Formats: sequence, C-alpha cells, structure tokens
Amino acid sequence: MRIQVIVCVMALFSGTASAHHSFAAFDMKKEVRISGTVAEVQYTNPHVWLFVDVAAASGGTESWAIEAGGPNILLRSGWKANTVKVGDKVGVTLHPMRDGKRGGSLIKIVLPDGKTIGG
Amino acid sequence: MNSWSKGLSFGLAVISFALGTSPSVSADSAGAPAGEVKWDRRDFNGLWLLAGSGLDDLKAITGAPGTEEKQDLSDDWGFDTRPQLKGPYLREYQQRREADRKAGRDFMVTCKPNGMPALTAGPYANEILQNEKQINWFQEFPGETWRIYLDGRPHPNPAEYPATLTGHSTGKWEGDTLVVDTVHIRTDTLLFGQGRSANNLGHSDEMHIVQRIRLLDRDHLQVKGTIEDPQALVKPWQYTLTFHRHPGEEIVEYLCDDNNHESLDPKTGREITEIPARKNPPK
Repeated sequence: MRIQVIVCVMALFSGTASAHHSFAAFDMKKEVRISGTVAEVQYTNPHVWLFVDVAAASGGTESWAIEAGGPNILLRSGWKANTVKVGDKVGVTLHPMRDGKRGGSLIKIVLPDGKTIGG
Repeated sequence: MNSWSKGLSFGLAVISFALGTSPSVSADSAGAPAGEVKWDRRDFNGLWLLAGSGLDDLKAITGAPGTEEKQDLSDDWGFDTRPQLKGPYLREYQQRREADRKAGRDFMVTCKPNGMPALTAGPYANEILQNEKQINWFQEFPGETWRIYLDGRPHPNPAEYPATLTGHSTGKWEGDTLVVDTVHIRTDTLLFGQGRSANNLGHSDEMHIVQRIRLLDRDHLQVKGTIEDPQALVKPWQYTLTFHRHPGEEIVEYLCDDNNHESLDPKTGREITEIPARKNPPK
C-alpha cells in the first residue's frame, strides 16, 4: 500500500523541495514516456540514477538515464535499493533534459507487476 | 512498557552512553490519569520532520479528506513568515534572486551546510539527542549538528573564537519550554532559503536568535524563533516551525558530493546536469 503513494510524494518534491539542485537542467513542463529494460541502478547520493535500455526504431538500443530523488527521500517513501531491479521491464515517464540528451528527471515508473512508483 | 517508551528508554540509554551522563527523569507526567501513558515534556529526543512538508505525513500527501495542503519549500525553506531585510542585505537578497531567475534556477546549487537559522527548517529529517547538559540537533541535509549547551556556560568571547555556521547556543528551561540563545553566527548564512551569501551579506555579526522550543504534545515539537539584527532587519523576525515525530525512522546518510553530477556553468550560471557513466555500457 505504501508504495502507491510514492508517486504523489515525488511529484511534490520534483522542482520544489530538493535541497541539492533545482531541476533547471530539465524541462519540467514537458513529459516523455519510454518503455524498456532496466540496465543499471545507481542507488547513490545525492541522487539515484536509473539506466533504461530502449529499443530504437532503427534497430539497436538507446540508453536512457533517469535521475530520481536521493536515498533518504526514496527510503522514507518505501522505495528501497532493490525495489527497481536490473532486467525489469518498465515504462518510464520523465521530464526530459533541456540539452536533448537521452535523459530526464523521473516522474514515475510502472513496474512489471503493474505497480507505479515515482522519483 | 509500550514500544514508544521502550524506544525512548533505549534512546536515552544510548545518549547517556554517548555523552557520559544519566538520562533525565520524567518531570511532568506525575499525576497523569490512570491508563494514560506518562511522558516527559522536557524530552525532545527523537526523529522529527517539519510538519506538513516533504515526506512528513504520507496520508496527507495522498490528499485524503481532512489533511492539510503541503508546503512549497522552494523559496522560504519551510518558514511560515519572511524577514524584512534592509540596506545592503536586502540588495544582496534581491540580486541573488535575480541571478537565480536569469539562470533559470530556483536556487543556487550547493553542497555547503546552511547554518543557522535555515538548519532548523527544510524537508529533511532532524534527529535530536538530549541529556541534562546538552542537546545535539542533527540535520540530515547535509549533515550538520547544532549543539545547545544546557550546563550554564556563557557564550565565548567573539574576539577569541571565530564565528561559525551554527553559532553558539546556550539553553535554559522556563517551565517546559527550552529557551535557546544563539549568537556568533557567520554572516554568510541566509536568513531563509538555502545556500549561502557569497558576499557575507546574509546578515550582520549582530544577529541574535532566541528560540523557544517546547512539546505541544508527545508527537509535535514547536520552535518559536525571534531573530534580531538591527543592521540587517527592519524589525525582529518572528517565525514558528512545528515538527512531527517519526518514531522508528532513522537518519539516512546524505553525501552531497558522492555521485554528484550537478554543477553550474561558470559563464552563464545555468545549472548543468551531466549523465553519469554507466558501469555496464550498452554494447
């Protein structure tokens, strides 16, 4: 049950209350959705980063980097270090990077079991 | 003994061990009605989050009926009022905010400790460890400790000791309210918001903070602050912070520079976020 509220928690924090940086590098008015496989989880301070491999239309794989909150925020919300695992098939909604790189600030992830969590 | 009082006893034992003194004896719960859990109104030990902010109450965040709207901490950092700055201190604030606006950021990226008074606010956890002689108030971001001395010592001679980010704090009890007097705070701390003044114009060296700290009930801690600074403020700034107890939660280590990929462009001041290298790059 607790995990269901993480989306709201993280939406609250996005762009408002992060102490470390201000999200200026991301276009917080835009949303991008990707689907792929979790390739790597860096559950680190000051921010957690997820890497998701997405099948490119032209063939091959595109690597997307998604920044989430810090471990203190995520743990307190119920998102533990092993909640998102390498190999998980996920759908990710993110605020894209302004410079056009394949990355963004996490809005939410839909996990393989259908649960939705946010970052 | 219920789980809360077990936790309290354990906490006091830990503090007693750490600080080498005996824990205080319950002072105010004598005579409680039968069946009512006794608690000490002078015992602030515990982990606290600013009430209504960030991750304080997950039920509130879901928007359930009867819950309060969450605070936006982007600018005021959780304080309920704002100081009225004047002179060069007001101009410093205005210039800093204008620079933030031009750079498209809410605030300056920093890993530096905030110092007083911002240390006591913000969305991160506060852990209070207390005995008869001292209180250590630990702020999770970015790992600052505010020490309040209860042993009657005076403030140091400012000519002999350098000012610090947290300043020097002494406390004395007035009933169940701890009155904390803080002076000797570095002038680059900001009166509200986070970060620091690059020009040492956050406030003057005359800043004097009096904080009246008390438990409203067992799970709510109130800090009523009054900040005087005749050089920087039009009038004394008064604010109230209320904290919510989070039993069972722990401080989570926060390392600002650990896997940090945020920086500022030295030419434009705009925030840069670099994507970290993958340990297992795609083939």
